[in-house]
Amino acid sequence: MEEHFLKDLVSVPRDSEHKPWWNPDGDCIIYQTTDEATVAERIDDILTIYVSVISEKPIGFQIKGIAAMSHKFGWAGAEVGFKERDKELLEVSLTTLLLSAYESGPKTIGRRKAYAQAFDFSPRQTSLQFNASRLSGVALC
Amino acid sequence: MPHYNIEIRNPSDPANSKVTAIIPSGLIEAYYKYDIVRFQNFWAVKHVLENTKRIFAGVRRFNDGGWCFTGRPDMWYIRENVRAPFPKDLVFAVYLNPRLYVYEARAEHVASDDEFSPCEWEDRYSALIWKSIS
Repeated sequence: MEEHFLKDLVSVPRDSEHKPWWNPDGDCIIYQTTDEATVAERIDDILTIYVSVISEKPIGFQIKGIAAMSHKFGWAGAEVGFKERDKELLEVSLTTLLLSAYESGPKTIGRRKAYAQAFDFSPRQTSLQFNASRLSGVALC
Repeated sequence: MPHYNIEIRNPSDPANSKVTAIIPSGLIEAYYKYDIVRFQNFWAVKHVLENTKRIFAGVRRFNDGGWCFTGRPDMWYIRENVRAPFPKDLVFAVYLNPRLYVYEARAEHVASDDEFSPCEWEDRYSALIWKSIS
């Protein structure tokens, strides 16, 4: 098999466990549970569900606009699942993110179903940490 | 870690000039670490950026700017080391932020009226700024 053209740029080991990860250049969080090609099903401006092209089942999601959402809505309304210092977001739970994202849009059946799917396969008790000084152009610690 | 540089159509002057886009090392490593199929599909990213069919502007609601380059590779990875023809009802979209850093690459359902545009592109993006005539 042809060697991948980016192989020499990789210095990290593969992770045996699928985890949500922060994408600073996209201001988004991505989580996928299975190594399969997906098709993106855009639910709204914030949530995209990744559907496996093999099983045709949802196997992941993307939450967009994290830094922008934190500035616009704040996380205090969620009351749990976040830590901040001097109004800078340090850590937020995936559940809090999903709740905040859902509450920011119309309560339609389609959105409710899609967010429920995201909750279903979202890992429990997972918090994402942010480098607070870079939140407007953010990095996962 | 070094980034990967790639020449693409300049979205500010797509018909006449090229510019260097960046596949950031952070994205390369994250895909490799958490999602090997996405990593292997960087082949599709490269193909689409070098054989772009459509360029869209204004692709993010919460963040200014950004571009979406679309195209269709012949093949893509559907599982680790397993290749398959790229489906005709999908289009491959590569998203770049205003600094021309690739931040997302994915298959999307194709629009009903254009084989190289993602579905509902009129509602999602501010403009189609260039289309290939070849």
